[in-house]
Amino acid sequence: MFFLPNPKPPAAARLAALLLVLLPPPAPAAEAAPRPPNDHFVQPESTKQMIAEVAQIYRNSDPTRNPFRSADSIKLMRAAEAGSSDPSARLSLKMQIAQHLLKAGLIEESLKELDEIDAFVRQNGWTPEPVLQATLLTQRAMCHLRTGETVNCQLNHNQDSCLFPLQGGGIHQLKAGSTAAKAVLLELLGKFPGDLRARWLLNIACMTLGEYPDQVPARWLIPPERFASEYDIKRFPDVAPALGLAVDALSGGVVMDDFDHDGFLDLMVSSWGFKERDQLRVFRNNGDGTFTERTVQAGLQGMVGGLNLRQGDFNNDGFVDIIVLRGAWFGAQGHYPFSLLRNNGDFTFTDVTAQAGLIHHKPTQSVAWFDYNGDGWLDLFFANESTDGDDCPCELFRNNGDGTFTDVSAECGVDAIGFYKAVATGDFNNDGRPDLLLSNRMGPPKLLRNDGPAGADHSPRAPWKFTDVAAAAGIDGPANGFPCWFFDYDNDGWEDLMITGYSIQDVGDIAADYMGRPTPAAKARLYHNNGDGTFTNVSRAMGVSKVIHAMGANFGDLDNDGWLDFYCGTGDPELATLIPNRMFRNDGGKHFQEVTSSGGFGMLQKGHAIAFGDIDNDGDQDVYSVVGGAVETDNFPNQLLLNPGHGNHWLKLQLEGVKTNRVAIGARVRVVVRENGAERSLYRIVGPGASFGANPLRLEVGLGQAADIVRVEVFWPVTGVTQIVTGLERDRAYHILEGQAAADPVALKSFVIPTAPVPGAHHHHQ
Amino acid sequence: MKFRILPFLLLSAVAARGETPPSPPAPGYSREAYASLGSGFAQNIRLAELGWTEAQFEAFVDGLRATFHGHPNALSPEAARLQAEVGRRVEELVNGRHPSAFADPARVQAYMKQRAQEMKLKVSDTGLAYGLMVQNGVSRPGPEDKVIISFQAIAADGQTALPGLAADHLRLDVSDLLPGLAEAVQMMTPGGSAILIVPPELSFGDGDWPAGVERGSPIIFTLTLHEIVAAP
Repeated sequence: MFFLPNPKPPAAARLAALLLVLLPPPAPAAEAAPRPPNDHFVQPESTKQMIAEVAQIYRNSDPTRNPFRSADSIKLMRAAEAGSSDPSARLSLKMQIAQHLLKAGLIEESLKELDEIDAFVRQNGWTPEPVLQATLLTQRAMCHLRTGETVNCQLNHNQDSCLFPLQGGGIHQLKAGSTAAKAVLLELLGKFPGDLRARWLLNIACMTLGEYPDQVPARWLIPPERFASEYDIKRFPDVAPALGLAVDALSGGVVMDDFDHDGFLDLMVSSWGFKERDQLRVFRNNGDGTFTERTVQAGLQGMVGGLNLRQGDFNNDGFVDIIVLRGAWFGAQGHYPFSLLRNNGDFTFTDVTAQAGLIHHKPTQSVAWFDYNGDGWLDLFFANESTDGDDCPCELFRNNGDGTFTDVSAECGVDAIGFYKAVATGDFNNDGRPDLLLSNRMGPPKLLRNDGPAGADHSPRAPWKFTDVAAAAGIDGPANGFPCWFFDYDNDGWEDLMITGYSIQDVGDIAADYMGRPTPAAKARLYHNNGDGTFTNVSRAMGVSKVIHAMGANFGDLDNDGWLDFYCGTGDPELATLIPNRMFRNDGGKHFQEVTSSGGFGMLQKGHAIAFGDIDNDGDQDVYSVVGGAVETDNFPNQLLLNPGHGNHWLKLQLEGVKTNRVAIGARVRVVVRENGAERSLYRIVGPGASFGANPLRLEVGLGQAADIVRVEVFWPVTGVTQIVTGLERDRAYHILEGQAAADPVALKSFVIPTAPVPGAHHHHQ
Repeated sequence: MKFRILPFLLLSAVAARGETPPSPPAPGYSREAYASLGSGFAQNIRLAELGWTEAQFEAFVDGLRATFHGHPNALSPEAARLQAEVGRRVEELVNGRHPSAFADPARVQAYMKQRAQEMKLKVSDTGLAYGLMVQNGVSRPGPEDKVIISFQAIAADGQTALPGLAADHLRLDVSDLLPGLAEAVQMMTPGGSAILIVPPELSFGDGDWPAGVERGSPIIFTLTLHEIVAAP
């Protein structure tokens, strides 16, 4: 328990405290004061250069080696097919062309190509193998399903659109697409009754037609009780369209934070493509129920390609800076630079990647801001993606405290090679040093314990030692991981680990899992921290050993009961992988209840970055969810899911480091409350949360039915000091400065976001 | 059965908490007779074959003595585990069987983990280690389906064939398969095959084990799914 006296104070903390006098001090507090937005900002040359470089790399990339550039690939494949005399090769190319046509949104042409394939197979006297038959019919069904989705969910979008299980406004008004899909899927299941992919899609098609469950043939019905929530969390309506926040683009990231220190949470949203639609966008929360897009004024016009975003504060000016990550999934074609966007404090941003010495070209979608050497400056760890013949080791950049960084990956032994999809930081052994958790899509995870200086030199610039203790600690999977995070799900003062799995044969694995059947797909793992350097896999006992197939994820407290819940954005590039995002409510640290259906969280379209935050300052956390897939036409509007309120108490804490980094990433907080006559402790850590999606750095702590707040303890990692603050009231926000005895109350203005009527919804402001 | 009870009775004495004072020696028997009784008792429980160290034996005698003097030691959880292990061991010795190398669940777990890593197999939630080798089909069988399968098994040593656990084109309900095979077959498609290491709880568990198969041991199977006969 980190709040108990340590038998041995953290060595790194003691050393860092001694050495701080040698380092440049953080910027003065006055710089973090709110400033009005700058309407006259001129895009800096450094930003223009980054935009130009990214565009050039995209132009020069080879579309045939990029499975996501369908429109470009079709022409090349048609030419290859025309030049081939080998019937088998031609068939293979024709099938790829049909798939790319669908992915490019050319549905009629894709159906025509499928007709030609059928004729081609007959002309050659072939009897298609079962897999080929099923592939062709599934492809045909997907063409029809996409037609239905396009004309209903996209062109006639409403807040029930594509919410699983589909009902109400989610039922298609224009039924031709799904009706045709249903017919094809029934034909497919007639041939292959055990095709779980077809069975899943049939149930979806019937939902869109309003025919589920009664008109689904009994042998292929997936019963509704399989999708039922274990708890009624109340409906969270999607208010993004009404607020102009429903960015309609591809997969991407989100940062929800207060960019200009006006007390309201703003949004930055990315899309991983490289076209105009994929513009990085920033929205200012006006504090009155409206938002204003300020992308151009912020100097970001033309900035594209970001799959994930992550905030920190590299220059300790108190304003969150942002990393834009690019190139993931593209393999050797993904050697794009990331961007470090300096927040100028007036709602403008400047690309300072080159100035900071950070121009590197490696495919990556995950980065962690953390102060590994305890010098008060946030360093950066990039979890890069290596593929066959293209080694891209992970990278650790030490912050020099002068606006520049130095690559120390090799000397610190963290230049791991793997297809790393996620990195998270935490302090699993409570020794005051932040550790790293790496999730590998193609291998076991790593838990890199921060052991401090590697040699006799204990200065922050000395080589540091990290040791992979995953196996010894009992972390042995999943072998195909994606998002990961540290969180203390049972409030015992020790950070636990979650790593979700990401490997399915096809969407049939999702069906199998819902039906309780065995599946070889990768399942999520939850590891309980035993407090002795080891972990226990509690996934089954806690109800999370499921095929979630998550890409994005984050955690928060939906009902302010003090227990951390989590939400996963799900899917993959295959258009047929129509699976719901999944929300899990933490039931007292003893079990996670699925609340996907009851809360309206089951977005069927591709889910990515997730952020929890109280965007209307009413005390409860809302959820921003980036929606949209990888392929060019798989765009879909993002969601802002408004919390209906649950009547519990809350506390907001904005921490400010003095010796610790200014935005206090890595600071640990224990809130002690009195509830039902007994003391209860709630443990939180300052940071953006899980690996894909970024929560605000201010802490938003649910207090349940607490009668009062006994005290707040803040552990500042650089000094190793635990600061105790008392006299705080429930349902209030405070600013806590490192070393200052009393917390300063912060007046946060709340506002009402109007919601369209949703059956069963009850919006409640505390 | 009597042999099974003997060690239980003997070891239970260690745990006895009774207030009864030591009984007086029966009259008319020599000291040698008592010594002989002790040896017979020890032979009955195959004491010399248990592989104890001198120190362990001394501790055992201390326990006897303490009980004799009316101050028995409590049966701690550790002693209870020892009691069960010695019981199993004695039963195996008396019945002429070699002790199972997998009597200890931790040994099974260690074996499963090591072999799964060596053979690059995945491990499911239930503990089944599996590798799906060829999957060219479309349909997967459900728990209510019938299937036509072939399988062979070898012992945990990776070499000893288990001819009693083999079948060729056997038609049966998925629900009638050993749990480990039922789990595996539902992940397969017709024409597909798999290699499995089935832990004891997913094969014969606490039930009767076939002759020639070491009780409690993992079993390595190769399994082929030929056909699914869909449920009506």
